[in-house]
Amino acid sequence: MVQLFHVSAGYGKDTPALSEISFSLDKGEFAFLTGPSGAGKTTLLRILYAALRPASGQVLVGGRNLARIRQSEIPYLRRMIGVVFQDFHLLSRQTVFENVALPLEIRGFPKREVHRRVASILKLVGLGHRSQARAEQLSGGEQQRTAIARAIVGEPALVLADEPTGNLDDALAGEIMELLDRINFKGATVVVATHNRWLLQQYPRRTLTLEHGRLVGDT
Amino acid sequence: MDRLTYFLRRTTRQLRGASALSTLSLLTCSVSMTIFAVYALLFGNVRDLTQAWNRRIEVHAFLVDRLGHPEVQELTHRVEALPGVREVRYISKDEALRDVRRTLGDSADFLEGLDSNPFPASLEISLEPRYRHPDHIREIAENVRSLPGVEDVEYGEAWVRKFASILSIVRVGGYLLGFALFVGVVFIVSNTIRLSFLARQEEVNVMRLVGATNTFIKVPFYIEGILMGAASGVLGLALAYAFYLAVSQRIDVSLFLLLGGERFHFFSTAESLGLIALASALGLLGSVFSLTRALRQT
Repeated sequence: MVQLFHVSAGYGKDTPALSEISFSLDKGEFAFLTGPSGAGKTTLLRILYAALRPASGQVLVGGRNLARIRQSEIPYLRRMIGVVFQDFHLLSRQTVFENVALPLEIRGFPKREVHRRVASILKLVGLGHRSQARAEQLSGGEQQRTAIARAIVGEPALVLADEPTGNLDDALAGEIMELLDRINFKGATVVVATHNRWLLQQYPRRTLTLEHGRLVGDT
Repeated sequence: MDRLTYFLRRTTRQLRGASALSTLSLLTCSVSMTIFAVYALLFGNVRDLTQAWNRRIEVHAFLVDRLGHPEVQELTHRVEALPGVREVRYISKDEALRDVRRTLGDSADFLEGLDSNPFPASLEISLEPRYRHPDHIREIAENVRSLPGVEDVEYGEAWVRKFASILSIVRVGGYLLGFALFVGVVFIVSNTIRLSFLARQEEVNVMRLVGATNTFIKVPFYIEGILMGAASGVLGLALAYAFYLAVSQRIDVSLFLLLGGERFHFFSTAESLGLIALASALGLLGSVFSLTRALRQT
């Protein structure tokens, strides 16, 4: 599903954020991406959803080479990827329903189908009763669950989560992990970037460790 | 159809979500459209007036005294046959005197003391529109002058030349100014839509992250541009109408009649609809410009 060959990237000439990263993830795999702040976790995720082009190396996601992808193809690549951010990236003045429906509306799903799918996903993440609440009225945990619902409503093949439990206490972090586990169980490849040690201990999975932009561990 | 409904819904939500900005944008665009509409109104009226003047350009051929009826008829036919001549009207000596009396009104008393009628018979020659140019008029006048029975020809050469240059200044200046206003309106609408786009930058970023194409992002802004253009066109037209009412009540009707027989008039229904359509097109054009720029920069 994901293959990286000698990938390097940076935000300036002298500050390489990633250096010579190589690994692959199979379809349906669950992996943590860990390391201290500034290790390059977010940069690596940004490369995977084509928000950043690698300076060198090859990146294959679902068979597409992201080092050479055309700008006009990126939206279609992103439709097979669900992204969850630490700061949620929700449309604060829109309702939970509207936020979650967005990826389906973009794909041109009929209204009835959008309603059916959104209702089902909101039930899955435990927000069925909050569908008409505005995103800004939600608690942190609810916002993160809304973001997860939006990421998975289009049934993506790959889910990328950047510190999805960063703002949450352990109990809520556990709930979010259960959700990501369920998505993975349904067949999606899941990559979770985190530096939360509690999470890594509680949910032992394949763990890729980054330090100073280098891959120093794959266990 | 589903897609169009969806985009309309999103546009409405977009406008409602930033109602203060939308209102401000609408007002800015309306002011621009009002200036444009008032200009178009004035330009249209001045153009009609100059066209009315243009229609009144005639060549007068004064005939020698005591020309017999057959000679007058022969002369009329020969003038009619000249290229560029639309119509020839014979004015007898008596008619000429009557015309002068009518024009002078109360001041015509001094004519009573005359022993004989001093005014010559004449031919009033109106011209085809494309021959109403100083060089053509001069040529026609010279041709008429060379005909037997014609004593003198008059067409106000200096006036015709001056009028032709006024007409070309009105035309060229008018269109240039109109174009400058047009560009100004596009610029204002474009910046207004850009502000609206920047205010929704967060939403645009989120849409991109979940796989929205540029077209999907742009369509609601295009619709917003068209609606904004149409609404400001209607408002601009309404304010231009208020201007028209205020001005037309102050203009002496006889002044316009004297100037060319034209009245100061508002746009016709077709022209009004055309102006609203133009405003909508400007709105669309403005949003296309601003989004092309904005999306390239984000």
